[in-house]
Amino acid sequence: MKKIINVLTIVLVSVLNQAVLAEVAIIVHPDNAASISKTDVSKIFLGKAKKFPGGETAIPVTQNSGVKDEFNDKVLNKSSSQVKAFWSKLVFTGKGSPPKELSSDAEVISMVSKNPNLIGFIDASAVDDSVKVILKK
Amino acid sequence: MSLIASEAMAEIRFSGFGSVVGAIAAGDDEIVDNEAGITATDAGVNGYHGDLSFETGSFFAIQADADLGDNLGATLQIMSRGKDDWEPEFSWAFLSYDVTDDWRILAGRQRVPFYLYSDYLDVSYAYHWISAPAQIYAPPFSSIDGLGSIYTHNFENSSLTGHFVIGQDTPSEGFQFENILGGALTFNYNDWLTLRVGRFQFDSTFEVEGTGPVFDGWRAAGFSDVADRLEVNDDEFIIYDYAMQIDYNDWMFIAEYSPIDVGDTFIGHLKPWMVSVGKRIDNVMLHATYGRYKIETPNYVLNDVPTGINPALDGLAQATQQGLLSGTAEDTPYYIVGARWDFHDSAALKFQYSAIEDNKNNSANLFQIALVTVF
Repeated sequence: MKKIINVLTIVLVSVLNQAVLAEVAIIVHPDNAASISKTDVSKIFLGKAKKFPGGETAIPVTQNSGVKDEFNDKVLNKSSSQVKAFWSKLVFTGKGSPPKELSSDAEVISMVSKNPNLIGFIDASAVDDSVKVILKK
Repeated sequence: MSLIASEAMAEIRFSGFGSVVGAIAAGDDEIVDNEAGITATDAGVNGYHGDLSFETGSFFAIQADADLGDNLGATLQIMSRGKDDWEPEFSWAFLSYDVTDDWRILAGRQRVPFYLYSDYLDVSYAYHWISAPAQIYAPPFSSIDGLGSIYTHNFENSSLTGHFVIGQDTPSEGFQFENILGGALTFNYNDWLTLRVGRFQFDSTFEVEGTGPVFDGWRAAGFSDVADRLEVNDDEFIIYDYAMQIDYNDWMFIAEYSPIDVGDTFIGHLKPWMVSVGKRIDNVMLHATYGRYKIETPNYVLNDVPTGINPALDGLAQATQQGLLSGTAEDTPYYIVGARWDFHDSAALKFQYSAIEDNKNNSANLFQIALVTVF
């Protein structure tokens, strides 16, 4: 009985934690003037488009922290496992490679603010003026 | 393209995947204890017998991808399988060149995209079964040394990919497959619908144990024509593939038909097909698959042989029919049900139960549990 209560508590807590969802901000370099839609973002992050709508090379970067699941769910409409499966199909056949994975909002902001070709996502609360937000979900 | 504009060194990325699979087969001895055979049910059930085995289905692979700059890359993959005593082998090693953003050329040892899942057949993490049904996914060879061309045209909501290959297979243990040429076209609509069609031809030469004396017999009896037609000697085989995959919300549906035309050889035309349905509930997927394994043997090859004249000839004809032709023809069902649990970002736990029958009404079942991962 005690074990069941403990398990239920863990499940309930994790469900409640997930209920407080983070807002995701898609960011690019401030000089990037392209008009980028959610579909464009999705195509770039799934390797189906290699350029921004304006013709500039687009290099996506992901990050391995909490906001990743939000991004995958809200922007790519896939669970993180599905994204992983999607990339395994390309990686292990030599057909493509997944975006570089960084480790925090700060690292993403740091890299995106220095390279006009990059596009990344961060927790909306971490946005500062060294980067430009093109989409919020 | 590198993140830091001034990076000049080749960037090497390591990745890999693996499956730990435990399995046990049960059922009629004719299948479970069968060590030989030429159908998908040979060597027990997909290589498993009546004892619990973790070695037969387990394997690991490490891949190294190097970005050599100027759109040139190198990929190396080494795989180590339990059933091969964990001896590492190069599954592929090729150079890739991106002619444009949409067109990549591969040169070297690479996989042949015969079927829907062929490209990533070993990456169990990428699909729902523990391993794709052996009734379809057991081509005579899986990699070639040669050239490949992958071109994708992206439309607004869809894409069309053409993957063509030409090359040779390295002969092994009496099996020779040469002049491999073919390709597959894959159309993907809005991410949820995939339609695929493929055609691959190659010249085959191999001998199945026990058939040699039968062919010698026909030649000795003055019917070289029969022997030449039935024997597999530089005969052109063609593998076709027609597949559809629907991935919509929480539902998944796959249908695949992959006939192999073997000319007049005694192997017989293979006509396997399957349909598979899956439903995702949170991070669990339940799936069920039904298929048929069909072999149509060229019994007509014996039509011109006179019967009732020579008892020795009659005996030879009967042995050939029983052992190589109608005796090996088949039209049997197979069923698979299973569950996949994505309990972790990079790993999944899978359970699977399969049932098969052979052409003599023997049946067998296979229970498998697997931990599959990508890293």
